[in-house]
Amino acid sequence: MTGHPPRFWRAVLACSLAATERDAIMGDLEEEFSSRARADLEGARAWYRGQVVTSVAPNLLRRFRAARHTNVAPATLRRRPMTGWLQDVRFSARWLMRRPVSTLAITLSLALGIAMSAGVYSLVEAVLLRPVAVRHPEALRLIVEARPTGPNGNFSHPGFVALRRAQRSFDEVAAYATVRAALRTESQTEMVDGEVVSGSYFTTLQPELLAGRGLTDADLTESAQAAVVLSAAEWRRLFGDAALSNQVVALNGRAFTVVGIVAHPFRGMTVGTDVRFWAPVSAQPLLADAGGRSFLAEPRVSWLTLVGRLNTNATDVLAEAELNSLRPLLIAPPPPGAAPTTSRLTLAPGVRGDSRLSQSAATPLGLLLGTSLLLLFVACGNAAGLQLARAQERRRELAVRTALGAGAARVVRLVVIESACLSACGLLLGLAGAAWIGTLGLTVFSALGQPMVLEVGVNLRVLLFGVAAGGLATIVAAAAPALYALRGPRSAEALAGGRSVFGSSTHLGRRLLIVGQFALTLAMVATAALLVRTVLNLRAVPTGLDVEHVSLFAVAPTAAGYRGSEISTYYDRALARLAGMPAVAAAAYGRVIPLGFGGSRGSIEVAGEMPAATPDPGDDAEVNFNIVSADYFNALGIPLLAGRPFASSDGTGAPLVAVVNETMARRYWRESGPIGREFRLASQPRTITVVGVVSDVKYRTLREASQPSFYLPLAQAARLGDGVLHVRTVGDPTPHLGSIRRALSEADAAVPIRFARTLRQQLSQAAGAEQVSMALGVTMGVAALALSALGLFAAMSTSVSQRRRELGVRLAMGATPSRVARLVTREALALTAIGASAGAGLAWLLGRAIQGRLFDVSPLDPISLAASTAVLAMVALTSSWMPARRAARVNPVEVLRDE
Amino acid sequence: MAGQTTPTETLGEFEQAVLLAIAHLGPDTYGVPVRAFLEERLSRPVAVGALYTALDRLERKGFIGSRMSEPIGERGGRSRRHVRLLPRGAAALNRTRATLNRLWSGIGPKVTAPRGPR
Repeated sequence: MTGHPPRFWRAVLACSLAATERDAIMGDLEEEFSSRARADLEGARAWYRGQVVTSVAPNLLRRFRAARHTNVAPATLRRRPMTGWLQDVRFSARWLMRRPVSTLAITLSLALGIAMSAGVYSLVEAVLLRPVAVRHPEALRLIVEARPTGPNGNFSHPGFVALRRAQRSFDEVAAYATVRAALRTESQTEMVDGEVVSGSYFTTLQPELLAGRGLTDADLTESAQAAVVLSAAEWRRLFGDAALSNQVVALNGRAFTVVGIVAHPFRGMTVGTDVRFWAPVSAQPLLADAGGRSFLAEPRVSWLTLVGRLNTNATDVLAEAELNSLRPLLIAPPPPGAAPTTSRLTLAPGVRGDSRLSQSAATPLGLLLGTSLLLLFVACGNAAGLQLARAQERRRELAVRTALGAGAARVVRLVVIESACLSACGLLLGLAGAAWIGTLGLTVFSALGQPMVLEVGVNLRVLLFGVAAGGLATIVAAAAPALYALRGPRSAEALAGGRSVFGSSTHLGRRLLIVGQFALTLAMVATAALLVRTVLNLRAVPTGLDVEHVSLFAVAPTAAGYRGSEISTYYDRALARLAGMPAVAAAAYGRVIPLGFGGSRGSIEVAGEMPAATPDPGDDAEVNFNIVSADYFNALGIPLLAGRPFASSDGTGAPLVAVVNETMARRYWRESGPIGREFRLASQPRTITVVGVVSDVKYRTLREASQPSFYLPLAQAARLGDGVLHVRTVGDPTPHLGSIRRALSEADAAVPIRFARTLRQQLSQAAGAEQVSMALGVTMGVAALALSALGLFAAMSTSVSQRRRELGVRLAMGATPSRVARLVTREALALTAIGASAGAGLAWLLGRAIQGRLFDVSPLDPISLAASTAVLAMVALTSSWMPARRAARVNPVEVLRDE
Repeated sequence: MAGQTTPTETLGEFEQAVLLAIAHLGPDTYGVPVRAFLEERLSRPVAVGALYTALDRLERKGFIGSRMSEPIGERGGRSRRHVRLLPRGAAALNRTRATLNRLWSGIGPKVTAPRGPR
């Protein structure tokens, strides 16, 4: 035996050859190979490979040319009567190859439409539809308290313990709460998400374990060694491929022994949260950011989510009835004097996990899915238009088929198969794109809005969605030409191959499709424009802060074990370190970051004076407050309008002082001036004296109107927790971020930095949700534009080819080429104009639907609408330019000779 | 007029080489000897794909004819495509040679470029 040629290369060669050539060429190579292989097998193989590599291109060219030269229809007729699906597929494929431009146009259109919609669907699937990765997730139920004010999903620990013991409807009930803790290894400290869970958690949910065991009730006892279960990904990150053998990790400074590893992809019940460890609920005082307070014996602190696995012989109704009979165990009676609460316990399906994220993401995702389906329709419109044009082009062939006895079903089948071939190509390309778009969408969502950790990609559901979308595309694209094939081509005129000059019903159909596409496109582009304007308006909102050169470092001393007055000592030390750096102009502490969507609010009572009439009747009496260190106003560039800033004399023993903002000063002390006046927080007995007034800043969101706010000095704060260090640098902060981090770790390396970012970044995050909408809206708008441009281009091209005779006659009669070109451009613009005016109404509807997300711009904003129309007109001009040029170049002599 | 050659049609260099190879190797030659002949005389590798493209074109022009043989065991049960020179091909070769001879006549054994400024 001399061996054989490399199989792979032989297969490549075979693929590149037409069947008629395969014997001669492959045989030649085989023959020469075996004679060479007798001397040197490896050399012969290399030679074979070289031959294949250099021959593939000429082979394909030859094959393609042969396909173009073959007169396809008669060959198909000759071989056999018109039967056989495969034959139709091959015939379609050849037919499609002979029209590469429109085939490519349809395939790309469908690919884009399918990629967008399937990509968005993959995101929807991951966020809203995917079951949690546990055994029989459909048996899981979340316990929810339906209150008159809205649902509540949190319960106390004693309540949970009592309910778990008394209930019979569930196999087991578990409680959990998400926490964020500092996980320390030798080299670094990192904040990671985790859950503190009851001993029943792993028996209730039953996630798959890679190694070890889940947590049990025994892990909750005082005497037990602190145990933790890690996710597979976290295990790999920390310990690589090591086997489980009592490794230890430090959580918030305390050692926990790893007792088990949960298999991927289970990440806890909360969708989008990347839970990396599970610790016993008894570790709550250490792990939850509650200042070390224990909630375990508190019947009035609701913080646990409850999930149960329903008994096989229990129903939801029975379980709910039992739960409500046990309600007094779970929910503590209100404190004496408070009004009794009325509520019912209900069950929510737990198959998709805890859906807090889903609820907030459902609306934008739904909108996005809707838009992507519109886009799919635009893509289908393209395919339908182009297929219709082809049907018209081949009416002679269809007429011959009909004349030779092909039934209507047979002709329709051919058209459908052709559309299906195109859809299949579009589907393949589209699915490849969908994986990419889904991941991109998730990145955009996470970067600009809510951080989410999810696996997005093409799985079975997304595949099914894609196939459904492809099927829809097939039907839409085949419907018009099939109707045409059934009706049109039987006429003798078609059989004779005559050409009609005047527009037919197909022409009208194709025009309607273009108009519809442009209407949808205008609506999508105008919506995108509204979103762009919203983001621009938000960016232009004056924040009251001197934004440049400021960076923010969120530090978590409580995670490093600091308690009480140690915390303020830590801040003093860290601020002193920072102030000592030459690059730092000012450094200050703030409890709440600017525009962080959060903050402290409290009711106040103003001594001796009633609040002035509030300008907004909906305003409540609560005001924002922040705890800041002395240099805060300096660091953030907030101008002092009256009085003085905080000084070192405002210490623990001194009278309590506050700096208020303009709005608060105006509202409470309009005439008399606020300096020296007193107020107190409703929750605290001591009065606070106003010593200064600063200008307003945006406190929570960019959209808010100026709100009354005041600042308390760090040194006088009663209770301190984690906070943010605001650092103003000399010049751009980016190069100094590293040295600032170092300075902070010199202050105490054990204190984790939750995040570090510039104030500029913080501001753009404040417009996060709007930016997500904008990014997605613009992507959709651009995709729609591209599709419409492609559709118009193809439609005008076919129209020009079909009107060659008419155009030739015009030219022969003395029309100038530029006039003929204008004829084409004018038609394109007219279609666009009709589409745009229809789209304006649609744009208004879409704008109304997203009105809540707009800022300072009306849903029917004339600028956005005008700009979108202008963009559409430009696109129409550009895509009709080539066909128009072709029209101008028609040679009348040639055209008339062809007749 | 497709499929017919006008008397003025000349052969491409590679086509000419293929035709000459077939002329050398006699009737009933096939791919393997033709390719070997070409590699030897042209002193460069010849891809089988390129060879068959040329054969195709020559056959379309009516310069050569071809027929498939019975399957042959040593070729993995595949047939050979035997090619032979047709009269039109021979005429084309002769015509090309005559043209070249006319062009060469009067030039010495070695072509030299005249000296001097360009």
